[in-house]
Amino acid sequence: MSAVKIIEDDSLRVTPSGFEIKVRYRWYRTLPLSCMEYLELAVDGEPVDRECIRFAINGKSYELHEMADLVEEYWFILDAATLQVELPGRIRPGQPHRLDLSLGMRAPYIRTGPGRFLTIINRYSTTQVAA
Amino acid sequence: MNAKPILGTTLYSFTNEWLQRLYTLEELVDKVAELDLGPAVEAVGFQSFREYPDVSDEFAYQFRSLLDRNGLIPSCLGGNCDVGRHRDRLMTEDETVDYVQRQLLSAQKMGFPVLRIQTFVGPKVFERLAPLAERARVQVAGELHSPLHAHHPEVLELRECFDRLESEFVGFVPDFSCSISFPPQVYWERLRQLEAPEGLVEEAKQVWLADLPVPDKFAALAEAAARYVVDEAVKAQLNMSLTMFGRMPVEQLAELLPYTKHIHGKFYQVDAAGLEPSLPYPEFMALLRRQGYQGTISAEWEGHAFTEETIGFEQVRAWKAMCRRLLEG
Repeated sequence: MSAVKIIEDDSLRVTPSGFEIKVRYRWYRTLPLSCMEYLELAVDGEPVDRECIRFAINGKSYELHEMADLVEEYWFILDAATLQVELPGRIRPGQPHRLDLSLGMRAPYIRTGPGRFLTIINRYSTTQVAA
Repeated sequence: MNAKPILGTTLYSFTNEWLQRLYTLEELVDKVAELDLGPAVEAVGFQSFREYPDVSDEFAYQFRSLLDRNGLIPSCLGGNCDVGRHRDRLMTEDETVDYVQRQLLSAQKMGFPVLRIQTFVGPKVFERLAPLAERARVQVAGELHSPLHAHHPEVLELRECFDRLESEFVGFVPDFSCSISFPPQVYWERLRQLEAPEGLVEEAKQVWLADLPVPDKFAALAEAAARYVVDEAVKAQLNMSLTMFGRMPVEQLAELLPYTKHIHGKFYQVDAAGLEPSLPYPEFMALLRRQGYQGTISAEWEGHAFTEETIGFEQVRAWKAMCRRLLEG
């Protein structure tokens, strides 16, 4: 049995502009990207600036501030999205790095008050060696 | 009276297997047939179908063929009214109607006779959906889930609306979670896993049993949680005891049957003796027999809210054996 991992195993890759990881969320159904309430990533305990992160899904990629408007771009529940991080040299191949991810997804039909909805909280920490 | 409900399952019962990518959609449906868990098959659109909410003709054809070759029949498509999909505002009434209409068309293409939506959209939206549903020949039905019950103001308002419309294309999908005997063992175990103190678990049980209005119960749980100093995860889990497990008397289900298009046979744990101690299944089945209900019921195993174990298939198999036995009596 393999439970759903919010950061997929062995997904850390060094890229020319920095690094990337593959991420999922644990809920029972697909949501549009507009339902992403927050995404916070830290590497070796240091928070990564939001502006350095691009979110790639369905063959397209977005800056995090663009997500709120994407009501018709769906993140299928079985798919991993790729976080492309622009931090050249931050991750070294062959070295272990600790990754902490916190991802909040709004449940857009579960109301908790007037105009407020339940947030599905996904928190995950892992140490991976970059390929 | 020989009329009996038609049993089946929702693919949502296999959420753990699905999320862990152990089966493709085709393999999942094949396995439902192989284990004789049909004939009625339900699915949550946003869980099972990549193209949802707008499935293509080609995919719909493949899906219908998949059910056909397995001797299965589509029962209900789980749709969603995502009124909060925009970050800064609610969907308007027009947008909500359009959003549901897209899902009605997908249901029609895939052969589902019923589209499940949420009741909170209210009578005005149902009134506008009725002619669209009629044209699509797909019934649109609001799910009656805990903490709703037959006499809840939101439900009474809809019953009045359905009476006025006199349309067989609008109605309800009652979920057995409205009438729980006692929240299941797996729920309390999960609370303990989150390190809720035993005293708090006991108090939560007493709150659930208390004869109080639901808002007062939420307040009582918050007060108890504050006394024990617990984290947000425990507080959220405590509130689930009220949102997941309702206390509607089973007899109220009879009042809902004239509007019922499909039923969610919610359950958590069928035990070794073939019983589900947290739900009054003998009473449910006796009532459905007595009332001559001939519609579909899905096994809806929701134990996956508490465990990632891949036991959906064995649980649904045990559920079906239990229901069959009870319906024969």
